[in-house]
Amino acid sequence: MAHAYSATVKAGARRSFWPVLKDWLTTVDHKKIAILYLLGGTIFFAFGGIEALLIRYQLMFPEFDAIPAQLFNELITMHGTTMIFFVAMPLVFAFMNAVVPLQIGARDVAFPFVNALGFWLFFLGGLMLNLGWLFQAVPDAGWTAYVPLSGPEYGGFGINFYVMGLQISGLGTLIGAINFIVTIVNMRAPGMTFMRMPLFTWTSFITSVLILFAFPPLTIGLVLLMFDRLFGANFFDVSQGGNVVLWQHFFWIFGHPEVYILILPAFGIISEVVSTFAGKRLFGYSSMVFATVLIGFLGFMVWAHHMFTTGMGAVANALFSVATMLIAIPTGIKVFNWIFTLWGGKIRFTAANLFAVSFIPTFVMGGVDGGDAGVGAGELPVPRHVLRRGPLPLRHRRRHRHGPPGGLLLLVAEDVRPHAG
Amino acid sequence: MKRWYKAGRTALILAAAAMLLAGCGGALDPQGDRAKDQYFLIMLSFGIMVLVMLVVFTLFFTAVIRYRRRKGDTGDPKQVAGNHRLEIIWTVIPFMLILLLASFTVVFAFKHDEVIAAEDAVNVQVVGHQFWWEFNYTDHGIRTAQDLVLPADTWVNVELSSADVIHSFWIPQLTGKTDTNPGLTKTVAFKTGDPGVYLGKCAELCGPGHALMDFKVVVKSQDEFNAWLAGMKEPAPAPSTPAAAAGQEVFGNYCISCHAVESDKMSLGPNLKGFADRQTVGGFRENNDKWLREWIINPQEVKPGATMPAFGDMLSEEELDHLIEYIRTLK
Repeated sequence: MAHAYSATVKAGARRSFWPVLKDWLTTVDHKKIAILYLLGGTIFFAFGGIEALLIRYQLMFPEFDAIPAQLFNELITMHGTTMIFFVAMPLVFAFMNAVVPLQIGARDVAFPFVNALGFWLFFLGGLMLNLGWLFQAVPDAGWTAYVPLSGPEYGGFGINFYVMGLQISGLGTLIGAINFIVTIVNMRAPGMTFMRMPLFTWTSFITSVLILFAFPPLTIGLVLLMFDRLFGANFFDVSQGGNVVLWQHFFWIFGHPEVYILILPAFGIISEVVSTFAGKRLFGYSSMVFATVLIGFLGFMVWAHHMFTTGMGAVANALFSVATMLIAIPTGIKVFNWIFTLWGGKIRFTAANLFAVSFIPTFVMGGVDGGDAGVGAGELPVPRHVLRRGPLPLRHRRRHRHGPPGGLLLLVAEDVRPHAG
Repeated sequence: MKRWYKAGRTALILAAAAMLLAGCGGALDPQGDRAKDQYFLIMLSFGIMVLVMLVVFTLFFTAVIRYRRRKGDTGDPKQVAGNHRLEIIWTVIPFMLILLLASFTVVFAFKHDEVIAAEDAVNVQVVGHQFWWEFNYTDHGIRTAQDLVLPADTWVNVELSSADVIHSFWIPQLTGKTDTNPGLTKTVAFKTGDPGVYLGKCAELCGPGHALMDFKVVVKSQDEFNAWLAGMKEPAPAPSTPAAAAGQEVFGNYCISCHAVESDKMSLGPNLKGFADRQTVGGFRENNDKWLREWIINPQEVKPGATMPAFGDMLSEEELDHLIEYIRTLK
């Protein structure tokens, strides 16, 4: 292939900086895009991590005045928003990009250009969100941005960066998901039926479908908020007939599937790593697939468990409580299948497998307190962040600390050791 | 030291530490019927979850320890990839556990959504503001703020709404959280317990002052409550000292535009009838002259985001002294 500089490049000579940069900025190769997602996620992880450290510093001592109240609210908002949308999501996409085409035997994804576009939209969305720091207008209404605190009357200018940043990166996420759906449906190697796909591909597929249905409500909610704030609309203006709870419905119809979007790829990684290093096939492949589909489906039925305290009434509270508890069943099936993959195996405790295996009890601890939280029907005095703020910081950290590192290490390990069985 | 000595000692320490849970207070020290119901649900779900964890952890640790690859063993294990009976067991048993938890949950969901129509129930209209709580006893025509005074062992219906952003009404020992939404009202019932002072908190991010938007629930015996009601309806006593009288004049010049001192009057800011008997200044500071002074001089220093203007530059030291002495007469 002819490149502008190839005439002057000798065999084996290293390329200079600018061509390399141009390559990375314009690449449509899924493997390079995976690395870009990884790097982008890591950069924002530094931001979110520093925000977390500052929050913890302020909370170390009673009556401590290290961080003023306004800045504190900005920190908690930015930490949550950054970690969910600009760390965990890109890591998910990094793994999907790196692994899925290889697992199904495709040369690349279905729409490579759209794939690259999706990355750049995510990255620029993250920059947009953080622009507020430069203009002393940082979003401060929490990562859930409830109205009217985030609205035109009570919300500061910083909320605009939140709205724009998430809208832009959300678009990138959506097109990325469509890409993977088409790739997985259309580009599997001959002979690879759906029920022969590796588990990580399955979970990536279901994740992509969740994104397809969950992100539009967020898009809509952000549009409504943007119009209220910038163009004088009245969606959430009570004096003009608007309803403040409406935002919460839109946000959580997105927000609950979002946490399944974040965890299902990690589940896929665990299935791959555990089965590889136990030397055994995954226990109960079809039930694993079925359980994952059920989790995805039920994930759309439970959003109002983030709204138990809003006063929806007994019927709604009861229904959403029961639906929340039901998700424990397919999730339990998955956990037992992992344990019984290990059972009777010959387990090697490589670095990858240490992460994956320790994920199991960690996730069970996190998951059971979801069961406790589902009992919110009595407007339980459970700490707000458990029910409302989406993934518990602890539960979520547990899942994501263990899944992706295990997966990354597996990718490396797979290359260097002979395949078992 | 033998290993089991160490393990036993650790277990004992953990068991002792668990006893300390009783000192946790808040939702784990429920008073009143509603909170006790909710405590039961917490314990039931917690018990079920501990059971689940014990089973799963036993299986997990057995698998991980027993089936380690032994040194030098390079062969492949037997490829068992399914067991119908097991799969049915671990679907059915969790389903039954959920049935148990769900039945209690549903029953309580309906029970706790009832408003209590009892004759002696106290009805209070609660309005959340940035960053204080307004309490109106609609049956008695009394308006007050920050201290929710209630009789012991009585059902209370609170009609919740907000004047600005979403707040959330929470008294950990008495009732779960319910949001106060602008433009919507929601009535919730709870029963008070023994006399005492209970902590109330705002449980929904509402701005810089959110963390400090506390209120107190002062539960008195029925007689004391009736006396309080009667006292609130009486007009404020005339100031008895010249300093207090001067303070009343200062109040009239600076404060009356936002604060009423008669309990039947509406006002922009908290109604100050009975302020001298309240538990706190600004909702969370001890009600003494030092904090009152700091509050009037610069409310935002005490509670960031407070909407009351700062009067430090507008009042001389003497005026401030007089004002405080007047405020101390507001019983």
